[in-house]
Amino acid sequence: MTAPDGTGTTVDPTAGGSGPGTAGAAELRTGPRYWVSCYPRMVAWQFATLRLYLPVLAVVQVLAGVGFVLGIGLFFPGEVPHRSAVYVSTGVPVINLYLLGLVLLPQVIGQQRLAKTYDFTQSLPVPRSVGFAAWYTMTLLVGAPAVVATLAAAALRYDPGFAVSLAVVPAAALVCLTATAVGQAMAHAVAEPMVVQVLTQILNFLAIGFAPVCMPPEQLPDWLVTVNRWLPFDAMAVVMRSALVEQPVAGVARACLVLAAWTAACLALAGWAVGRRG
Amino acid sequence: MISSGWSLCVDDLTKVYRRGTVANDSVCLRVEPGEVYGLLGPNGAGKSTLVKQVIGLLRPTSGRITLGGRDLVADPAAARRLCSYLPQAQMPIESLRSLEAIELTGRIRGGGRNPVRRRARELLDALDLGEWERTTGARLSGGVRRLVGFAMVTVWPGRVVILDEPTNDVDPLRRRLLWDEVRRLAGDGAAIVLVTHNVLEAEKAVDRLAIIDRGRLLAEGTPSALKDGKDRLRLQVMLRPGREDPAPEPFVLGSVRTGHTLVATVGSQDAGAAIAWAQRLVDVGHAEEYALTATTLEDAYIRLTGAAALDDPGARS
Repeated sequence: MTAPDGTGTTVDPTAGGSGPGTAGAAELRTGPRYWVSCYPRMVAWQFATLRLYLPVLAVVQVLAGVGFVLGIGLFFPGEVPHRSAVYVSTGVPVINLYLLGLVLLPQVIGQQRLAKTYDFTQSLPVPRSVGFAAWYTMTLLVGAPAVVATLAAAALRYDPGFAVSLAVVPAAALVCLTATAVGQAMAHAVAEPMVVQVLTQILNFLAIGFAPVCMPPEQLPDWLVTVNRWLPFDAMAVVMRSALVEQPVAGVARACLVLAAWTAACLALAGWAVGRRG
Repeated sequence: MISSGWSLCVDDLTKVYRRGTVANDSVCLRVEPGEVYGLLGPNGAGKSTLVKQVIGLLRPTSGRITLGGRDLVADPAAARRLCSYLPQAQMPIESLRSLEAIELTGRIRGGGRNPVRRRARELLDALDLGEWERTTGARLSGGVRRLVGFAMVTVWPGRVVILDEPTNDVDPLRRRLLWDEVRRLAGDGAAIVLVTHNVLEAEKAVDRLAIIDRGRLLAEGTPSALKDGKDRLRLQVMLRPGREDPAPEPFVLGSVRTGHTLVATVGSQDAGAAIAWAQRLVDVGHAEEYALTATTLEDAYIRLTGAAALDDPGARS
């Protein structure tokens, strides 16, 4: 194997059988093929490092989603109005994915910072985008059972008239992508784990109680509806609802644009935070 | 030395944190392939800051870091691929089995499945870790976990391998195995940077070293060259508790007190006078015992870092 910088240094990674071969790791490949080769390895690393934690988290997500769907019904004294039932049934899966994307990564990064293993993880020789993609994959796979269970519980409890299409897959993927990007930005841009924890709690509080995710917008003051038009929570709910119900949902294209903008901005912030090397 | 094409060159490196702390101050050093290079200094000396700049996790305020002609400051992604890094903290392998952790990092570092598997097994054997190959990190003792971390970093090493206190918690027998493996790595062409504050270990393990304190490189050279010289001796006097330092004698070239121990450097031509003086201290009950030996790297280390502390007494708490 020849050194990639043209110095002419020649080292065989497996030469001599027992030699570690310093050139093997020194390859400086780039490009799509390199990215693709790194991706499954990082996915395997992410799953392996959280192996003890992920099954518990997946179960908790299922219980939280189903519990939330059933619990909200208790707020209504009698029959749950159809419109409210639709918002609850389509909104709780959004909350599911949103919480997972927003909370899991900051928590893990916070633990890494406290345990001082953050530097090792950051020193792994893979493109930063591979690390994010691996994390996103894991979040999506852990969140999927919760979304399915939540939707099933909602269908049984409220019969909201689901018309589930294949569009639910990209919709859930987009919601999860934006949520993961927001989590990624907070996790890397805010160095203090306690501050990150407080921020995530505030965002969770806003998403659940003050955004038209699980409730129709007419139940909120106008100014809050206006604010929510520029925040990702409402957009996530619109995208998800459009993939789950038969009736046309207004503003899907705009919602997609809002989510794309948030995703891009948060990834840019995360990239800047990791790259600033302060 | 195997080749100079992949020398790690740190040139006039300065790192000032946002709050004004100068972590590295115009540091210059060069590590050749095949060399074990020690970075020796007390806690807070700036060693970790220095290596984090080498691996692209911190951006220098000024200065250059190059490896094989590549600018690692401008290209931190290349720095991560060309350098392997064992941090001082334990690895995040609570849920990974030892062999699995080693193989996974080898694969992430770009190794093929079979070569990595073969090399991982070699490392487990070389470090005598075979009985723990299927044990998860959470169940490993601190020392074994440290060795697994070492194997993770070196299973498919970069051109530069940075080891931050690699022997922490490791038992004496396996320490020797680890040092053997470090030597093999160097023999295979890696440049090894060993970060430590363990002077005795550094003296045995490194080819050259730099003593760094408060961000400044105070001295650099082979362990022999950094000792106080062949014409000097080390006089160690165990003072009785509560006794003040004895009045300085003209032949004492320098002294440092640590607890009840006074370590003095004397010229070899003054050996007789030094022994007589130390015996007198014992006779009058000022000291309990003394020893006159060849100087060690520790003497140079204490002299250099101690002198630096005296230069700027307010700088260290």
